[in-house]
Amino acid sequence: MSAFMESRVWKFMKRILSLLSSPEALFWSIGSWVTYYTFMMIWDKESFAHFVNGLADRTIMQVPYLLFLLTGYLNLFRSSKKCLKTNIWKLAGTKLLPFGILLVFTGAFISISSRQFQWINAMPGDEIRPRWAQEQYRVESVDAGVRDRLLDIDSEGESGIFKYEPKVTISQSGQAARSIGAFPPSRVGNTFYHVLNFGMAPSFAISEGGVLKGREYVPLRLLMPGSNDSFEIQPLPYKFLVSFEPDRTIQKGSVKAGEYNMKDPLLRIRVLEGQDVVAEEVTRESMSFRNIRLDVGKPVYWVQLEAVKDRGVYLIVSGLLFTCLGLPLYVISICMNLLRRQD
Amino acid sequence: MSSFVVYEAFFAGLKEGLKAGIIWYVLASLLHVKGMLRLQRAFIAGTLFSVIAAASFLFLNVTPEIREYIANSGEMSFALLLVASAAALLNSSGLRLFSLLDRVSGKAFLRNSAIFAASAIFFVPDISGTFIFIKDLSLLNERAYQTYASLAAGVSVSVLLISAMSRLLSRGLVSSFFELPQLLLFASMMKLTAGGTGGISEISLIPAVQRGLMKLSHDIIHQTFVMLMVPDHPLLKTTTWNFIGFFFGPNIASWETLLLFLLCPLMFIYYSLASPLPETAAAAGAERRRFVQSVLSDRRRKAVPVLLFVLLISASWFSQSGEKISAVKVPKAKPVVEDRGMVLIPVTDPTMDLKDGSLHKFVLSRSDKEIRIMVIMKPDGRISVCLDACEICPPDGYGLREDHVVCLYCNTPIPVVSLGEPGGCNPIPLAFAADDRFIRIAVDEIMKKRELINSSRSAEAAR
Repeated sequence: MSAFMESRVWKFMKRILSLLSSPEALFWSIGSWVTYYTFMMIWDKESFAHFVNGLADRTIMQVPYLLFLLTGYLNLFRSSKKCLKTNIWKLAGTKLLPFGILLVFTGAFISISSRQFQWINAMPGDEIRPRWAQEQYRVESVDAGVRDRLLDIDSEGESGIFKYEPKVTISQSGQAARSIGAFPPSRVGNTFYHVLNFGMAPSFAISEGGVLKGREYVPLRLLMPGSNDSFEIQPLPYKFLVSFEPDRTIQKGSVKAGEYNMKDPLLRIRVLEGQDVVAEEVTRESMSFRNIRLDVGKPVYWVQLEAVKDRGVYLIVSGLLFTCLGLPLYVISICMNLLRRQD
Repeated sequence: MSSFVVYEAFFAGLKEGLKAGIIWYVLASLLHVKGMLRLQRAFIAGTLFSVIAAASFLFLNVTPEIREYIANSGEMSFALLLVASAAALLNSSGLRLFSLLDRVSGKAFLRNSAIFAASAIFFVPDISGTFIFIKDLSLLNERAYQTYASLAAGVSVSVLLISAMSRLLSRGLVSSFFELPQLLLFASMMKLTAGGTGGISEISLIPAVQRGLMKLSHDIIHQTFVMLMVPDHPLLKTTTWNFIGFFFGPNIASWETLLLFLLCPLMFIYYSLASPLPETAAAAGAERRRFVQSVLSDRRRKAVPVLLFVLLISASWFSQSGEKISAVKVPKAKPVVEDRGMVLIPVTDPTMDLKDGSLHKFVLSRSDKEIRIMVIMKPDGRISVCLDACEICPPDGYGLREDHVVCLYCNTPIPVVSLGEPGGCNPIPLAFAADDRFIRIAVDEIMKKRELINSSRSAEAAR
């Protein structure tokens, strides 16, 4: 009886496997997706975003996708087995591309459905630890790569405002320091880190009636000439608007440009109480209004790091490599096949 | 003559008549050769049903939503035909995609129903759009009957032309180029090139298809960058941004989408030329050569309509890219000034009307810098106010191309309905207050949102 059951189960399994490994099943799953996507594209407009969101957390989207992947791998296995018997070069020529594409799709699924990420704002001296990580790291330095002196027209030109790509150095006690750039991301422990954004954090000390109320670095969205940001200090009723000011203006012919010292920038500070401007000053040292004094210190850079835990990323990268390698081989193999038919 | 004929109505009638006539003739030729000419009745019934169903729009109040629904239905029917033709092409290349239907495919009822449904899917949106267009025209014309008479004249001329064509081209010759896949592909080609309707959408559906595919291509690239942790931020400009910009460029996107669109027809042509010949009892000699010759000749003939489709699409793709795609309207920004912390934009003045559905731009000068603001009324009647920049690209701004705005830097099409939603390639939305006379935007809001330009920060909020 048991042998009979096993044999029936096995036969059933074989039928299912043979169905899934058929090119028909693969084309049906691709065709179904194309039809679904086209329908969504016409009636919804943001179809890709909805598809990706659905893939992240909706079983009704995940199951057909997984079936498609299974069908794809089974088809690849079946056709590779056939190739292996006849011509091993054909295997490399025709199967590397679909293998690469399937790896990308697999990696994308793992990435979309299980990716964890966190955006962390930090300044030198801060400790960082994403919520899923055990290890804690200390931000040793933020090297913004911004040129020491720049013109306001630099941000519009090709040269940009950077000397080189920004870098952050982090370290853990007893371990060597690690440098993190913008791209490619650096893997530290089980987490990828890369620089997503950064800006300047000038130091401000505030005294009221000669009594120091506080001193700290204030991270502001200040990076290049023309940018401005504001901050408030509780419980004071003021809003401080901060922007860069040029140290001098250069004129060549009809072109005028402001030159900025980014190492020790000159700041325009406007103090607002409600809608009214209470005080305004261009300084790199201090300003006073009413019975308050605001001292400005040398700024540091703050950085926004993206920390990502993603198990799919290696599959995606290797899939892309296989695809890049497989594409020309596939084209060559098609051309050779056509030539052979001509003969 | 010119005072009597309403040319738009005449050409609308001619176009629809020719479309129906050509498809009928090809279908009838194919059915005639296969000995199934009686099935053409189902096609005629489907077409008549479409005319009757579409005629209801002559008596209904056609709202903008209904117009959009009809335009979408036209695109949908094209997509269904194309997917069906792709499936049929693959099926005829040796795959057995419809083996489950083998047992029932011979039943006359099913065949009749399929032809009836296909013709209704093909014609209902087109004829509905045409009737709505004609109704609009008749309302503009002092003598409405002239419009309807011109439509009828157009249809009559198309009948004469089809009748002349049927005498010039024998059914045998026409049917030698067609099987079911080629017929479906031919129908989708007709739909693509002449499936739109004046007043509702473009005459050709190619721009709509291009937009959809361009958006898909852009979304895939963007998603890949997210997964590979490529920051879309100016801090990459010196090293990687140019490389990224290459993938976002309009030329690459245009080629990618064309390839995607033509993948199936190209596969069919490849299989027609390269698939092995079927086994024959005639092992050698003249008989075998004749057999091989007839198989190859038949395959080549059947590949001709597919090849024509590929050539036609390729030609129109790049002519559209060259003219229509670059036909982006970028309005000149009008200067606005700050007034007690607010920017006031009049809803109407002698030179403009913000509710005309067109894109309007304004520029505010602050500290020697210019900040551009764009205003547009969405199809749902709500006004959208945004900065003329997004959080990803350098702030080149947006232009209006037909019914969507397009980023001038990365060429991403953005549906107007999605304006006001933050994030990605959408323009950065601004909070504003509006009454009948003015749109009011706080300068603080503008300055605050300006910091988002080219910063990528939206994604933080979006996630």
